[in-house]
Amino acid sequence: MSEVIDLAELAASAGLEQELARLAGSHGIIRTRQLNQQETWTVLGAALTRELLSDPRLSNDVHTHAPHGALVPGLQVMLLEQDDPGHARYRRLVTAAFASKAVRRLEPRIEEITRQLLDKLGDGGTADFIDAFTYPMPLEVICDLLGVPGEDRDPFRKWAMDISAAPSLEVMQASAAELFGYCIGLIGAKRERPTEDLLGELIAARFEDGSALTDEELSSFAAVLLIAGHDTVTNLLANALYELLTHPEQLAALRRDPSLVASAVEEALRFRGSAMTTVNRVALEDIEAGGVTIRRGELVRFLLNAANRDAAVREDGHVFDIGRATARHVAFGMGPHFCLGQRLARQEATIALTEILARFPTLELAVPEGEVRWLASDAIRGLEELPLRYARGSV
Amino acid sequence: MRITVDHDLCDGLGQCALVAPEVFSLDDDERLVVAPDPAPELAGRVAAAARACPVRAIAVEGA
Repeated sequence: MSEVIDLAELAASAGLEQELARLAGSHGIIRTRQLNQQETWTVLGAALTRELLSDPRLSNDVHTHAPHGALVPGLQVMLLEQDDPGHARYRRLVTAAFASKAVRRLEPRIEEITRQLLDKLGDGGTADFIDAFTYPMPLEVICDLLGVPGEDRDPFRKWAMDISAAPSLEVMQASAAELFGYCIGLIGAKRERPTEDLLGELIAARFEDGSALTDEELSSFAAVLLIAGHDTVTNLLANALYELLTHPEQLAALRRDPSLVASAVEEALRFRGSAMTTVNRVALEDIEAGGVTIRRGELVRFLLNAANRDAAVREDGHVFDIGRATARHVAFGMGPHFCLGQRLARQEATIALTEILARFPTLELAVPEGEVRWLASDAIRGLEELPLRYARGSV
Repeated sequence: MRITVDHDLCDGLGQCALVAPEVFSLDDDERLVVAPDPAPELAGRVAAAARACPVRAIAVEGA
């Protein structure tokens, strides 16, 4: 195998997942080229994904072990780019805010945000649901949770898109710098005037040894949550709507039995999850895996959308079926870095789908299926636009 | 082998149950259940399961 694949190029089509599954059939692991032109190993197979995601020979700390591989040089991203025990220490400090009880408490606020956005759509018409709903909804939720003032929320979409689906490395780094600068200012303001949101709590939080998070650590954490906590959900919601509308028998089943919504969210995550690849890992020693040798210092990432359709795990991986008893996907990763916000994401998606379908008995794609455009990104799987025709009247 | 779980930290994420389902499972309330007296040959899997926990809620002695 000598081919080096550019995932972002491949991603600009709806057929990405089929192509990846074909590749996964012959190789559980392939060579890919990422935005900074660097080559990485990319793991496709489900078994190899499960095995290697909790293998301590793969480190998340690319800044220390492969500085050339860090997409935003000089910036060590808390939680994402750390190994244990440091990673677990941070994670324990913030985990309560994303635990099941805390997320259940957010439910009324998520419903309120959802209904307000749907009210703005009126009784019927045509709109890009990404602009009108799937982008603002999770942004409002994560900004509320963190304590980002309402008037500051405008530039976030640009920063988020530039960082996760950047057209170039320069654009990504410039936007990351702007976002971190903003977060440093926000933390400073909250130190002067304490607030009762998550950032306020983290400023006040103490580790077991009595030490506190520094401004840099707090800003890094805020920036990660703002990015990871909203564009992943934006695209998850849009992808889920797209799959339902392009599989009318599945949509009809969900309308007949709204209690299937949680299972529909799991299937949307499995079928075309929005966090397409993990962040890079780096090999701390030579690792034999999937018939290749990953050399010490080489970068490895995981293509979760490929693992979730691996034919070795499920023969009908390309079938979108919201009635699957167990989706058993790895859309949120696995192991020590298992997505911190997965409960919140599931909650947001469940509420959004429930409310949208209840409000609009008529909901359909406003353009032919073949005309929707997929983001040319090697990290985020999603649509450029989701133009829908909707009406409150009966079908 | 002695396994202890910090139930204040555990949030029922189930990562341990994916790695060592013979030893770890979640009940209907997502509360972690640990099998009593796991066979010694499962020690490696138990250690890997503890490592897979995002919040380090599982401690293993004598593995």
